[in-house]
Amino acid sequence: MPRIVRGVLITALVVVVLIWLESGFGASPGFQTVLPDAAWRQLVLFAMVNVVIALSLNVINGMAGQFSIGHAGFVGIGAYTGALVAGHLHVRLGSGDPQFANSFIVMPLVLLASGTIAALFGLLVGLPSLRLRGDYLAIVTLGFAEIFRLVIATAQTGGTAEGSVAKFLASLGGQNGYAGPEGNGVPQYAGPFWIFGSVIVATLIAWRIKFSGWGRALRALREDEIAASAVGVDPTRYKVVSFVIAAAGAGVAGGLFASMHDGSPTVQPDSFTFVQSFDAITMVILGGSGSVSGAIVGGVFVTVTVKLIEQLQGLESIQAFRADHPSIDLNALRMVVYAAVLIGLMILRPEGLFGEREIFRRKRPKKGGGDPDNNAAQKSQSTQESTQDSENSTPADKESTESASSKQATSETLTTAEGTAS
Amino acid sequence: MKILNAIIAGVAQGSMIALVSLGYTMVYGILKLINFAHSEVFMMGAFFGLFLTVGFGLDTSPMFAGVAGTLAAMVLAGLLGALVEKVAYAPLRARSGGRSNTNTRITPLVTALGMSVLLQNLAQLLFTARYRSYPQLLPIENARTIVFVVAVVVMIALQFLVYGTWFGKAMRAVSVNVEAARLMGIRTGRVISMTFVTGSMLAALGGILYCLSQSQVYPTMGVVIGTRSFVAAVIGGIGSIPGAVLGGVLIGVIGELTKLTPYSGLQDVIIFTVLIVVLLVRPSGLLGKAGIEKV
Repeated sequence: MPRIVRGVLITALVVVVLIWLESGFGASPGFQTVLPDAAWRQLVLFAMVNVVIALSLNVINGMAGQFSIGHAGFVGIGAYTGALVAGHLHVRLGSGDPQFANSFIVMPLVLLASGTIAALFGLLVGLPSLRLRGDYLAIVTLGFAEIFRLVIATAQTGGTAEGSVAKFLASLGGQNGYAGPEGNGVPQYAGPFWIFGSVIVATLIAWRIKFSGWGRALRALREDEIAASAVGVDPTRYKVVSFVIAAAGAGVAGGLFASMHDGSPTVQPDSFTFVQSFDAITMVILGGSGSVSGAIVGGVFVTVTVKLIEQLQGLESIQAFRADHPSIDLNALRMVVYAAVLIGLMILRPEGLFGEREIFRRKRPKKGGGDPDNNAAQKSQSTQESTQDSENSTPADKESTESASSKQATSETLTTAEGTAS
Repeated sequence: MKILNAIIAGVAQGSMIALVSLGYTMVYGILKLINFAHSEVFMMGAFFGLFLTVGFGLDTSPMFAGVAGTLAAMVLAGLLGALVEKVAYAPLRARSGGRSNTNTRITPLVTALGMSVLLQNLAQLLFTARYRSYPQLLPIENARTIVFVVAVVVMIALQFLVYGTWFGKAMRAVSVNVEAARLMGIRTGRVISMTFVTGSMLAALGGILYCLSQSQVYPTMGVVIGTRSFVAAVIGGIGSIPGAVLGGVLIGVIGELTKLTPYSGLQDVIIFTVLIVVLLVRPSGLLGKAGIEKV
């Protein structure tokens, strides 16, 4: 089958599955059939939003090697923009329950607006700090995220506001959060269709960025900025554009977060603190900075553990324990454990779980392992792969490697089974 | 008159910020690393000061308790700083010579940030998140003068330490070139440890002085002051000790002056705007030297 036909078919199949998840073609929505429990649905959607955050942060932290530690700020900007756009459009469309058909009008505009605004702020922050060599981006993003949160959280909401800026900030609800233009909640248009769809698109974009000339230039910059600029890679341009891409991705994630199904109906400044930025960094570093699949695994893992701790706090035994030891704060404990894991990981295995490798693809020969023939074969394979870089995101390529690895895996399990039997 | 008062208050506040930013700038000068954990050492120093001052007997002789508590807290914070360096940064340095295939630039920043989060949450677990008031050792009107005088004395001492002693010479040598310094017989590891100890002691002193004039101790107090101090170091020219002092005083004065306007909440916005302007106009900072990088 020609590659293009296969591509179109797979895209159509994916779209049909996503629409089934959302609407169920007249029957109950597929997502509810798969996961009847609303809490689980919320967890899955939330994890997917976090995957988009991790993927976007991975572009600047992992691939370009510039340390941004205020990613939650851009997510927050996207979330507020998305909530504003969705809320006002919802009123225009006649309020009521959010319809799936209407989401085709609302969501593209929401995502476009949140992405664009976050990207503009990214440019504003990135341009002065990324011109310089050194870690200025870290401190500027840290300050930016904190300022964004404080400006919104401390806005005076009591009707005493004067001036258009103050009035606008007051309309965002201050510490209590923004709840739509009529104060009855942000309309929740982003169902599984939009959220899973965004994850797929974000993954494809991240993949194409990584295995392209652009991605190689970024990696060169990360390893040695002087050498890279000597061979014609303009550091400022590459770094700033990558940062703007990362900010736009964070903005889109924020837009999804604001209008997520089963999510909170208000957008609160406390959802975008330094803790969230640190979680995003943990997702990227844990999975392996620079690895697309690593960011996905990291995003899911961190979300699940955060949720798990929330669930644990509801248990009676834990509540009794907390009553006995009021000073023990489980969230602080989680942060201590995460930070310790991160430090240990940096010391023992600084490349993260996956390193720069991907799950479905063997880019580099294994270090020190295997016989030389095998190594040589892998090397030739990797050079071959890099020559086809522009094409290798087609499903055919992935499928073959995947099936090969799964075959290997099954044969391995078979031999171990035999071993235990004998 | 109001403006003059604000400037005086700003200089006192700024000299406290300068004490903290000295730690950032010294570590950056030597290791080219933003020591994110420095702001938590500042916070821990304030906690140590609080506990030790109370422990030394506040009722019997407040003056003795205050001074002894402060000195002991500085020693403890210095040990903490050395510990942070040993646990989080030294292993990376030992290894970075051998392997270059990993993301080497970002690794020390991640450990530094991890260390900061670790210490902050550890403090929350150990001391709980509630705000504790610091014992009022000095009458409030004198506190500013004391803060200013102590800060100036310490800075003169630091200037002597860096430019007048063997250790200071070794420190400057390491900051120019670690490898060459090692070849000249300087124990670089020890010099780096001592730099962390010095910086952390200054941070603890800054923390205690901060609490003397503001009178609250809590686990997240390091975040705001730490960020401001680092910005001060960058504005003054990172790696330059007089630059850190100038940047600190500048930020203190800006902070106090904004309190006169109706936009007192936007203090940090203005500080960051100043930072961005400085980065655009004079990237090496006000007193920093623009160095040529040789390859």
